[in-house]
Amino acid sequence: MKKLPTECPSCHSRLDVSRLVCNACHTHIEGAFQLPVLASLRPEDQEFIIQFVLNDGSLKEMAKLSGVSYPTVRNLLDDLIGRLKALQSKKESSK
Amino acid sequence: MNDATAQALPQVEKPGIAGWLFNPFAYIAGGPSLILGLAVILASGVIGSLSNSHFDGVLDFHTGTPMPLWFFIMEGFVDWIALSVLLFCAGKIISKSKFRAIDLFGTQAMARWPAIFSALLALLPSFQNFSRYLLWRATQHGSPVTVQPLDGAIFTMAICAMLLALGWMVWLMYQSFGVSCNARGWKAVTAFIVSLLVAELISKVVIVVLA
Repeated sequence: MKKLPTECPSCHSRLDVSRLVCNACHTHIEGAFQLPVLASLRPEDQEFIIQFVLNDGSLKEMAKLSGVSYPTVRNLLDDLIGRLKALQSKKESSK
Repeated sequence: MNDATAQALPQVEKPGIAGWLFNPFAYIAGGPSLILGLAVILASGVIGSLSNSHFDGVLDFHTGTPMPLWFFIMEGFVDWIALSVLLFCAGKIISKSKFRAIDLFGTQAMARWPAIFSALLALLPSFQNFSRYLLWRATQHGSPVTVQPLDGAIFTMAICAMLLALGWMVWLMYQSFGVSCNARGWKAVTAFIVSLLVAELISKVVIVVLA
């Protein structure tokens, strides 16, 4: 699957969705829709969140299953929280 | 690495030899690292006692005074606790993450494992003989010590290997601090260097007082 672009390659501003299509009946909807914050994260961050939820929010379990240490997983989560906060404040300031 | 969860952590490289040697704490921390680390401190103290080699400071390694076994083991524990406590305080100041004391104390203990190499190298007869010779040359005390032609070369190579082991140990201590406290950048480097120097001073004083 193609990677969803979230940033303008020209000016690096946040991209919005302007067109949606139904693959079944080919209905097109046009408008100005904002990407959810989670969709604006990097694909690996999105996958981390999915695994985090699937593992009952247990970092210990994630560390055990992936063969890495607990602080390594904890640090990845902390970095992700930092990126989420930055995205949220960017979204707030662009409102 | 489990496939499903491994996909969730593409940022973490699979452990290779270099990973285990230079940043093992990405893969091991907490309780297991504490158990291994305590075994490392115990082993380096016992091996050190066989050649009267003292870890008499966080960064120190000297051969010399005979002491009871408990003293050699205690030196390792003092070094470990002094640095771990200071790094814990430094981590609380500079890190925004909530970190666990067991990760820092466990990985710091494990980071001391290159000390075993230094303790083993000090067991070499040539190393011990040349050390005695240097001591006799410096003090002119006791009967003269004779050295074999290869003793000096082996002593020099052992010292070089010990310096490499020391550098490796300091690197592991920094990695332990970085991983356990999620500390990076110039703040982490500065906090580590300051903690290391203060811990060296504290450990030296404590060991001298207990001697």
